[in-house]
Amino acid sequence: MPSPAAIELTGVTKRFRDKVAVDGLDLLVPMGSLMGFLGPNGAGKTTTIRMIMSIFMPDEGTVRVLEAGSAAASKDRIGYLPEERGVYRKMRVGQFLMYVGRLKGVGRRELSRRVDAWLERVKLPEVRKKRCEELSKGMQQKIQFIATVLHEPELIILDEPFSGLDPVNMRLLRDLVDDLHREGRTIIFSTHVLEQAERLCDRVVMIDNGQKIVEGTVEEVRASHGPPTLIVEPVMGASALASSVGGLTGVSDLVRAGETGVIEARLREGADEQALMQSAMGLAAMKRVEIRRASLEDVFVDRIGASIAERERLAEELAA
Amino acid sequence: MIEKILLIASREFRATALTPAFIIGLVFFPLTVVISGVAAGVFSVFGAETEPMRGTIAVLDTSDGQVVADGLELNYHPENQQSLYENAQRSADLAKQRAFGDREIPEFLAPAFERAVFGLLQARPPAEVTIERLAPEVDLEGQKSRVDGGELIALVVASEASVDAGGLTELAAGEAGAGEPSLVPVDERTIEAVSDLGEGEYLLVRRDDMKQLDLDEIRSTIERAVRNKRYERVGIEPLLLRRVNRLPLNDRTTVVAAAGVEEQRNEVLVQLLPVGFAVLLLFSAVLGGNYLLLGTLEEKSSRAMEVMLSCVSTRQLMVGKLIGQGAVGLLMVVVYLSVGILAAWGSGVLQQIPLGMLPWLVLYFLMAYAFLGSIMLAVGSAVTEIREAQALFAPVTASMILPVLMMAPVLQDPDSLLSRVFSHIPPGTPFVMVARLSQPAHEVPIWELVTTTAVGAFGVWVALSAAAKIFRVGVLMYGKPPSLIGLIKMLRYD
Repeated sequence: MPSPAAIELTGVTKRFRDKVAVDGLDLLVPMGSLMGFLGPNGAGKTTTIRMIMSIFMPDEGTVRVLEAGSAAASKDRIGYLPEERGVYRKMRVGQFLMYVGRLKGVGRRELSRRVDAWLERVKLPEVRKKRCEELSKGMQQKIQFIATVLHEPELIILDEPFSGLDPVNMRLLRDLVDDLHREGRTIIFSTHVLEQAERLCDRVVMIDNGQKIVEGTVEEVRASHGPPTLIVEPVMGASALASSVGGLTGVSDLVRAGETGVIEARLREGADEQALMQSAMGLAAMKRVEIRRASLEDVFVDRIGASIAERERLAEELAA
Repeated sequence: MIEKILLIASREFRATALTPAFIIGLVFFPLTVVISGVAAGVFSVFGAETEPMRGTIAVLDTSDGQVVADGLELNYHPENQQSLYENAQRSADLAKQRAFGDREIPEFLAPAFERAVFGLLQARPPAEVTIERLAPEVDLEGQKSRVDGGELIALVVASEASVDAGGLTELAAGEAGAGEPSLVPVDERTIEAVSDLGEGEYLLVRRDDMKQLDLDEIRSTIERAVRNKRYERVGIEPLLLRRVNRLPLNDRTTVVAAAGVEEQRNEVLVQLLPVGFAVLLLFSAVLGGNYLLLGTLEEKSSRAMEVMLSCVSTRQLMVGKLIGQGAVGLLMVVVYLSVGILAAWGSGVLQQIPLGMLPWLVLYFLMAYAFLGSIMLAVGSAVTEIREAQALFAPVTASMILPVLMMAPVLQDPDSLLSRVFSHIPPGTPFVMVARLSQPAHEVPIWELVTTTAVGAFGVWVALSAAAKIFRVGVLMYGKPPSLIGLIKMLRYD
């Protein structure tokens, strides 16, 4: 039995005057999943998220969130970290978190306990009484993340959560997201950092020009790019070995023929990967033999890169 | 839903009203008024002329009966000066009596307070001035040198022309005469001799460093003498004329009410109350609206707006902000009213304040604030910086100026057709109605209270609905601010 959908978008369209920001988008985020929402700048990610949050209303289509007609009916069950970080500059950190938490329906006493616990968890226990404006940008971002999850929401929506963070804080945040997912919460986040999405997500959706390009589990999306490749790096004589690799059963054609000491061969659909690797090992002494699948970045560049280049060309033409 | 609105309202109120800047401002404003009043008195005491005018004024007067010389001599006669001084002292005592009745001013305050508040009324000590009459053949240049050398305070030259008012006698007899008589002191350099003095002119030679107070006194003395002579020439007794023109300060009137009951009324207070209430209303509504604008701008510029919108709807946010800052405005109304009522009680005029209209004042404050606040919210949501808001301030300015423009005719006749029409134009309704209701002699019919409240409430509803639409679209809009037309176009967005 399929898990119920945390978010279900059907034929959603949003226009701003003449510009179509989101165009007939269908999207299904299963309950308990961790979904990456990927796309270039201006693809329509933030607009989609704002429609999910009932901040914008769609011109066409329907949005169902946590089985309700809209997020307006279930805002207290949703945590949202907007792309544009914002805190009340003059407010003290503790007051800000208490205020947002109370707006999300959490009682004062329980909230106070959670604020302390979360500040401890993000390694900022000393800032509770500081004014928000006294914190660094990275610290403010962590405070905002706490404000997003303080009320223990079932659904967490993070718009570019990793932008502007240093590697240490990026890892901290990634671990927190992973923990929340393991607690059973549904998480959807948009990002440009495809490596993070690949490492964290069990599902991804890529959109461009307001339309869905690809959707599925990470494996499905990577597989959608085509069959994997066999990478062979012999100890010596790579060029001489290229034809032998090209002749192995299951190999379709050669991508690189050993000029740089590495042979790369595209596999046929349904090729036996284990048998191929063994056959390759038997050809000569090897430094490396591996099967490589397309990364999300490969898929992104392949499916959306051309569109970005076209947009940039058009923008340049317009500017000229 | 209500709980979230109240939470937002509470934060808005605390973020504004519990800041040192607001508290200082709230107390500072009335305190500034009081301090300015006292300071003016104190300065006047320190600046008051405690030294009498001393010296000799030389007078060459060739007029018939030496009008100017006689007038100066009479004014500076020691007995007359003493009498003037005593009169001034009595006036100060009278003013004190009017303000405080038989109440005692606390002893520790009395000397400083009396000097400060009644300093202006304190009399200057009697002048010690001698008038020296000059013969017609006197050397005027030599007399001027005496002024230069400090031997004389001033030299006055007058002739029959100074006294002559040009055909005054004919005018009094009903015949055609010259225009309005005038008295003009002329600069010494423009005149060579007494014969050169024109009609109504006299010559006053003095040193540059003469005190303005002394100069004013000499001039008024000369002018009074000349006028008296003119009255006399047309057959009017000057003393009689003064008596005819003298009216007591009309600040206490006995009013006979409809039921035949007499009551004492302070007319000055009655005239000031409507203006005071309307100004209080405008001041509080504008300040409350201003806080709304700044709060919304802060949320937008700090990007906290979207965080808020993830917790509540735009409508909840807007209503919460309106309530919170409205409470701030109401606090100001309550504080200033309380101060006013306390002051009225202390001055013994509490019964003159129409306390029954205070609930109306609160209602009209809410109406004025909701109207102005809606516009401020709409403007605040559409821009990201205060300077961008200035371009959109036309509706704000209009909604503030319109009531002010309406006030004058309403104060003149609260029951006129114009007043009634103005009462039904929403931006002005609260102000006009407060002005009408706070005049004890005028009763606003119940039906008008009902219709104006209904019209005002409708105006507020329209303003709030429009603001809600602009607010919903504007709060997440960044970049180029909209023009006024753009703002109006936002009303069409779904």
